[in-house]
Amino acid sequence: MHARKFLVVAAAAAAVAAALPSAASAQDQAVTGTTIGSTLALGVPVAATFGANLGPTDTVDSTGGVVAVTAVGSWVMRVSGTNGGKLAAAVGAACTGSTGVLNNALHVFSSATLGNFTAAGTSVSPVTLSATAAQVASGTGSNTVTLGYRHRPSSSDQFTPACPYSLTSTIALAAS
Amino acid sequence: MASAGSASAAGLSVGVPTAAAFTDPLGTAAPVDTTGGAVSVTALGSWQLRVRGTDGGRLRSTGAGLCANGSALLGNPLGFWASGSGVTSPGSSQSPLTLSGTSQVMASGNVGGLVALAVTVGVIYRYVPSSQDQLPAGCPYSLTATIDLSA
Repeated sequence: MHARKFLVVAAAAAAVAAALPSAASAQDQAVTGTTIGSTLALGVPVAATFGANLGPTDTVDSTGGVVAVTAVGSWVMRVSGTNGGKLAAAVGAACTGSTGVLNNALHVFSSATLGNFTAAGTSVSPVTLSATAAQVASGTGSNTVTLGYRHRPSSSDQFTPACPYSLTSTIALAAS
Repeated sequence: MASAGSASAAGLSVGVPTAAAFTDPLGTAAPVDTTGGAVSVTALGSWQLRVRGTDGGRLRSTGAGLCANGSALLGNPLGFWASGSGVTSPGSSQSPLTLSGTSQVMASGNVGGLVALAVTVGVIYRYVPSSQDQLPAGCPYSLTATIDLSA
């Protein structure tokens, strides 16, 4: 009796197995997602420094000036500067006799590490820095942007040795 | 007895998977996981699911319309793991596997007894943002994962 029951079960299992394919099979699965509407964040900029000394003869470009953009969507970067974009001398004995505010506004240009980026100011054709925010770059998505500043001497500038000059530029990022 | 076991171990069938969708939008800040991805395995005996993805497991956009100015192919391959009752997965939410163009084991199991059973395997994919990703707003991304079933 016991042996007969087992044979029935075995036959049923074999029938189920016969109804299923025995070879391996494959199916495709769609994996989908959509990006968020828009987001923008601006990192703390690295200071830009004129590595070569300022003088009456040659133009000099800054180094550093890196700023991180974290974004989903398209954006525009604008820059403005104190003193109308002109470098101002520090207060101190070293600057006595030196021009307080240099005559030419700095020029600014941009570059980036990733694509999907457009420079409004380039090293060949830079933008003149002023107190009014001017567009220097635009792009889509995250990127690392470097802003370069260029000092072009004016014949009216008077320099004393080792006098520090500086300005503060304000970088604004907006969705576009 | 030996005859019954031998015949049943060969039975295998995989259903059409349900799509896996990132219900939270893709962004730059945080990883996001899919929901809804599942596949039904009907088996008697041991089985194994393997998975591979298009584009080396990376999400791709159409590159047109809203996606015109962004990354066509995202930087990081998706992570993945499987879940389910009676399902063993070498990946987990704490330690996902990395999807690639080469099939790798996603899940395995063993249906004992004498009757084939259906096992539902949940499949979860994870997107981790890369600093190289340039995401346009409202841009759809997708890939196709191919799931293989074998004994």
